Amino acid sequence: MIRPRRADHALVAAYTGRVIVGVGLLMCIPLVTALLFAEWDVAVDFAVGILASSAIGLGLQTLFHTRHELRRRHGLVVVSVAWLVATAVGAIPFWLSGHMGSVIDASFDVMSGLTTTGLYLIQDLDHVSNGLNMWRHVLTFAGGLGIVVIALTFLFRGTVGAYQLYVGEGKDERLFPNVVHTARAIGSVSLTWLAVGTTVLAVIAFALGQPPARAVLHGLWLFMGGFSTGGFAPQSYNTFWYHSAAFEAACVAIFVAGSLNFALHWALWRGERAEIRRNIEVISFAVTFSVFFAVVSAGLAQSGIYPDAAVFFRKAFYLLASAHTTTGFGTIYSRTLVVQWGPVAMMGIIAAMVIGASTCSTAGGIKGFRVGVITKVFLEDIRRMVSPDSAIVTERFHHIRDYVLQEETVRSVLTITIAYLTMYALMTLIGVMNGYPMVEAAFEGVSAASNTGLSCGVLTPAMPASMRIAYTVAMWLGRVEFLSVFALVGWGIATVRGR
Amino acid sequence: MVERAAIGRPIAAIGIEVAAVAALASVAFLVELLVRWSLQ
Repeated sequence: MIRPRRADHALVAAYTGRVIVGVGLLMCIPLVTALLFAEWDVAVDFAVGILASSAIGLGLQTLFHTRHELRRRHGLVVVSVAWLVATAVGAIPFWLSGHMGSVIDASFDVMSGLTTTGLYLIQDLDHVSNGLNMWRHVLTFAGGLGIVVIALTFLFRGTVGAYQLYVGEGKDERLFPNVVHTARAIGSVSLTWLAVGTTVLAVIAFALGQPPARAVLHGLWLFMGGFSTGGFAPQSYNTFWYHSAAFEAACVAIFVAGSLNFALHWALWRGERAEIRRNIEVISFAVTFSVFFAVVSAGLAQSGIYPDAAVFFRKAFYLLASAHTTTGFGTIYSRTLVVQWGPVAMMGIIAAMVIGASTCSTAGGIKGFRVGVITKVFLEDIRRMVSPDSAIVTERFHHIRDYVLQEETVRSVLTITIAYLTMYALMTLIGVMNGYPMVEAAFEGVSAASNTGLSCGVLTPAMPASMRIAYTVAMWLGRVEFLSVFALVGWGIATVRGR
Repeated sequence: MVERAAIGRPIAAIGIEVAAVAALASVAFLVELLVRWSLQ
């Protein structure tokens, strides 16, 4: 184990500084919003946040100025440290707003936003200022794209080692050979969807009776919360508040789009239309969605809560799509899950959250790609069993191009899948140990660890601090797919015990 | 670095993605009807 030298620590500090400057720049958006709506106290909160992030970011870059390029182990550690520091500075306006019960709660909400989870501990959400609401939704949109992807787009022109940062955030698709161009392509797709999605939602909100400015704000915020598969909304009733089938249909289209792999979006942009029906992730999602929908339908049919088929479908499809894409938007009260939907329907929702959606998207969970590959491994083994000994059996799958299933891919898929399953089990155990019923503990724990954000009512500011901290760490681990955090732990051990 | 050929297609891509969601909803509705009918 090689002990990192001072130059290595300096490299990590300098690049972390750049990302933190980026977080400070993002805070200018809620600052302008607060000024536009004459929310002067809120503007001061954001001015303090911008000053703090600028001081930390520029200070780190000045103190640890370096011309060295990033290597893989640096990149992963930079991502881990940057997410932690970004959470700390991002929490400043939350804490100053007076809406948070503690610093732990403020950090929880920022981590929930950045990791596109959508659980929240903010109090009196229905009376939060426009500035702070803008910050909540900018956080989740930026987190969905990846704060490092944004930094790559604007702050890392031509940096060869930038790929290591990109990988560290759980994204490994290269839409172009150059990772900075890849980041800009992701930005292009997202901004196009932002323009279309915000317009559609704003028009519906306006038609529902909201004043124009409020309709635009709600359209923008709901788009950001949906496309990022984050699930934040500007009111405590979430999307239930609108009572509109048109609004719900638009939200489903937006959050399913957000859960698709950016490489798939880009293939469609290039005119490769067949990709939508051939891609292993799309097929995996369609199959698991149909299976879990049958489970949820069976649970709801048993409970008899929705006698009308159309209402039944509207509630079940929306919530399952929200869970499977790890969004967290809802059109039912949290406790309805426990007291009316019942354990069978809840298990269907939990299973959807466990798997999640696509790799290299804004979604969380194990991911459809890994489920697809594991299925292929099973099929390969079955074919081997029924084939002659001399036969060479291979499995193929399609993801942008055709692949032959390789041992290396299977190993990587199984490692991450086992890590996720272990984390889900641990989160459930923590909930049960704190006195919550098994199904509720599993629902809430999986929701946090898969970055979904649906709640069955376990998460409240009164929940034990140890659980709030455990949920915060789980959201972080789930979002960066473990590797960056493991790299940070390894970095720490090597610093202490390395040679 | 956005390819020129790609710039004219984003709206068509969005249309395909929305159509895919509609197809998924259609399948889900059939699943619901099947489950409700079989549990009656």
